[in-house]
Amino acid sequence: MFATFFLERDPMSWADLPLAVQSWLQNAGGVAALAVALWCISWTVQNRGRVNPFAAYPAFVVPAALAGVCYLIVVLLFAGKVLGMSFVDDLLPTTAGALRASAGDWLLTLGGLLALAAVVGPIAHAFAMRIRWGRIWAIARLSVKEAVRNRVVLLFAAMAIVFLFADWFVPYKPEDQVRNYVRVVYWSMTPLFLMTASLLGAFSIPTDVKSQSIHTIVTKPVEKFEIVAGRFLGYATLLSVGLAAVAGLSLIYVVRGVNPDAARESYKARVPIYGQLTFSGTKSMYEGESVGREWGYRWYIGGPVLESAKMPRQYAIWSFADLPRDMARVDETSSEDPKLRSVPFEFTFDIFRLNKGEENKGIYCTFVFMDGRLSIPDLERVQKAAYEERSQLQTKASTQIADPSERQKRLKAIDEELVRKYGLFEAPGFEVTDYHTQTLRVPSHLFERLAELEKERPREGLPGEEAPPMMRVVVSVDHTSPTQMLGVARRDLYILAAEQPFWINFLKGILGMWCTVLLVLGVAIGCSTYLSGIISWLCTVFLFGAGLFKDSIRQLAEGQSPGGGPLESAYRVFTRTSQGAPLDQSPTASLLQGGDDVYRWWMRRFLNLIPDVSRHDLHQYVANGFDISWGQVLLTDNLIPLVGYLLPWGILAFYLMKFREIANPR
Amino acid sequence: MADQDVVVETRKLTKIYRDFWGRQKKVALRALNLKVYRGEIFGLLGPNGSGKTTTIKLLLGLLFPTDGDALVFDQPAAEVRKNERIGYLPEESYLYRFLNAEETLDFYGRLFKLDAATRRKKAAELIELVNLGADKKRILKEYSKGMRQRIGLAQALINDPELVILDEPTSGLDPLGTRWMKDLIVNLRNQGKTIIMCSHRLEDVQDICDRVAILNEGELQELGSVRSLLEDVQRLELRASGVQLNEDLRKDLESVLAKHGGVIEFIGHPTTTLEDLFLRIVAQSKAHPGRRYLPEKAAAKPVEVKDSSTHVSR
Ligand SMILES: Nc1ncnc2c1ncn2[C@@H]1O[C@H](COP(=O)(O)OP(=O)(O)OP(=O)(O)O)[C@@H](O)[C@H]1O
Ligand SMILES: [Mg+2]
Repeated sequence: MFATFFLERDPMSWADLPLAVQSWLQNAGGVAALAVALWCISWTVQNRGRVNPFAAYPAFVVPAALAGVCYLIVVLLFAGKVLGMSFVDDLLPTTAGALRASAGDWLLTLGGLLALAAVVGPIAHAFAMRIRWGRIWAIARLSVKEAVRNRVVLLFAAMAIVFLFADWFVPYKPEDQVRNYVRVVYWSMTPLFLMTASLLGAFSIPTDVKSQSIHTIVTKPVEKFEIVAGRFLGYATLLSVGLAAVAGLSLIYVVRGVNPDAARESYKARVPIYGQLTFSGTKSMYEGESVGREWGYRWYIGGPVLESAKMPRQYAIWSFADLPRDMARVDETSSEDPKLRSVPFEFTFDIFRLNKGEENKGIYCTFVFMDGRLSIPDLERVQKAAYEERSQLQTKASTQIADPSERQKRLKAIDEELVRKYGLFEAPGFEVTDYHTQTLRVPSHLFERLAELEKERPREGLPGEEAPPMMRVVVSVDHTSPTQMLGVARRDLYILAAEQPFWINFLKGILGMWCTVLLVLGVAIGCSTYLSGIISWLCTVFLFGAGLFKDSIRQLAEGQSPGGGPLESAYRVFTRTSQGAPLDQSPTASLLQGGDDVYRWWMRRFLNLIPDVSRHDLHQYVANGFDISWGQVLLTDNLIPLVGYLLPWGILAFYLMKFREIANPR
Repeated sequence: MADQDVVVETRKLTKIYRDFWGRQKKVALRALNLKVYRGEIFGLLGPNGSGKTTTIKLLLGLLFPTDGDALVFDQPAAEVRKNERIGYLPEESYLYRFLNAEETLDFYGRLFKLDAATRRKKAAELIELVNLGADKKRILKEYSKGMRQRIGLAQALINDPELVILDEPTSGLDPLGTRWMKDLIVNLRNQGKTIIMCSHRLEDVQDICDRVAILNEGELQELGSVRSLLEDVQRLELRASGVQLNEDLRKDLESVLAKHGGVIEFIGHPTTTLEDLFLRIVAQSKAHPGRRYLPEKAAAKPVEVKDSSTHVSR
């Protein structure tokens, strides 16, 4: 496998949140609205003459009615479109991924919000008036006692076996030691805890119903949802304690006797600052060369092949919009006497060889760290000027200063002067090795200079363009390595802003696992409020399994394939139209395409049912020594989505339980 | 009892069990109209499958009526808050088998939001009441059927309920336990609680119930006070002591009855019931361990069972 850290997608950030909340409201609210509508219809049909129990809650009736109005308007908009009124086109809901802002979108969002308010109203009322934590806690304690007395906790001891024997089966290169230990721990803990969570969750309530022990509980002044909440709380507590204990032991297992190679690679928690990756001299700004390798994660740049061909030089450029103040720190490993202050940059690149041989040799590259206001044409000019000035000054210094140590000092001073003057630091001829984390330290005076420039003149883009970044890092392959290509991705190069201790990061990674455990527990208990134990468990396993492949399922479902959706594809087969060809504009064809749109729309709704479990798998961070940030990774990418996913399950569980005939299981 | 408080009322209560697809499986209860008044012991009688348990579950909100209403304390049966005032002993005591008696009562006490001191006090009292003091630290898995029934009853009384609903309270109990249970039920009634119980053991119902409803195939067959239902106005019973049966006595009695237009159907010495005999044997073996039972010569005295003050007298 690749010994480097890569993420298939960026963790959700605060900026993504509004869009996520909007689509959450539309989806969860849509389901709520549908449920309310069906409920009202079936109540009216089945119980003519009786009073709907919800009619008593104004908190239900008012928002439900308003939500109905919103959805009605949307329906009217679509009706208007069908009737050929062109002015509704701008008002219709859009399906684009950007923050949507048409009137239809707002109506859908508002309708969803109101429908949710309608279904949450009675729940909130119950919580305020009748649901008591004392009883939930009593049921939670009962669940823990049950699990402990049934020796479920012995399962956790199974981890000890992994610790005892894993070393026999896991061979590793010294530098991969920590990485492999972390993987062993995660890949044994995760199934163990998920299995426990799903079994406990799926079988607890159904077993109570079957054994009828739930009868003595619901005939006490217990709200049925208190049983659900109590079970969840109890098992969550038990699993959290178990997880904490096993995580503590695992940590000891991982950290004992870390060898120095492994420590350098991953026995730490890097706090990286990532830039944006663009290219110059390639096909387009966002694409490098493709070498038909891997799965498109990396783009490649090559060295200057033939100077005479006048091909533009290929550059990979990382732009850093804003840099935090004062990142520079003393380099502890430096051998120089007054230790230099510098900013470390780390990178891990892939090398692609156009010719065989020289397997173990690296590839020579030039790294330029420069003021973001300089463009690539500027770069080549400034580079040249700085080069000339440097050689002039250097010649002068070596002829004028006899004392070697004085001369050394002077040479250094020249470097510093030039960095300040041109706002550019160059590291030429750096040997990059394949898939190794390497470091370049950039002297602090470049950053001092950048900060000064920031004050002197504000960065302003051309009209209609974004402001240039504060800093760029430009990487190119030297002409000494003409037959090699350098594979780069956005996260391959970063500023190492700080380093945190490994153990904290390890425990943060466990928090991701904790989220998964809670997710599985919640789904299992949610299913079990209606389904039997075994069916609940199978549903949970199915949903989790689907969650592992959510991205592939999404691609399938959304039909990005050139043949279109299932109906269109079938039509193409039937009419022998090839996949790429445009479809004739017959009414049949457009009807089928419309059908496919509906299908895709439903698939997208359905996809929301599938939990995004891979986002909670944080072991890549830990194994490769990257800090899991509290804010972006843990809060916005783990906790908030978890709550967003479990909340609808909770609402569903409330109603399923409330309207369940406890003594008449189906 | 006509103008007393109504504790439980059913109006045309109907329950039809349906399968998943909504097809009708069984009409378990058909348009039941009942009123249960405060302070009485109300018996539901009927053969197996006649809908007794179904009625009770409807009253508790464990089942939802297909039609009609079930009102308990003037509230619909589905209302949770009424449970504050109800105690329920299920047909079989389905309690958590991994808890011991004390923990069981503590758990149910928590559901009523009793504080720790009250819970401890109540648990101790109830364990004493149901005679489980020696076994209170054993988990319920190890309990016998009778012991489970006792802890089930204790659980039903934890909140000092006004209405106690008992589904077959005497099932699985030995005659001693049955008598104990019956005494306890009467005792609860005497404390002013209302009791609804169902059973198909007619003698139990006859012994203690004030009023009974007889169900068959989900339909109400008979409803009224036990005395009025059982009273046989065509016949007369007479008991006497101090005499032995002989021809003279028989002749005298016949002539007296003939004067009033009656005839003797039966005359002879009464036999005791097996229950009485059993209770006497157990009581004697407790008093004189190791001795074989000696039948008493004197006329049968009422047997002393543990709590004589509540002894059934009917
Ligand atoms: N969940 C159920 N689904 C279908 N039918 C049921 C269900 N529960 C009970 N019944 C049926 O309803 C009828 C009444 O049952 P119920 O349990 O009320 O009888 P019961 O009078 O309590 O009998 P027993 O004396 O045996 O306890 C029976 O015919 C039974 O088969
Ligand atoms: Mg029954």
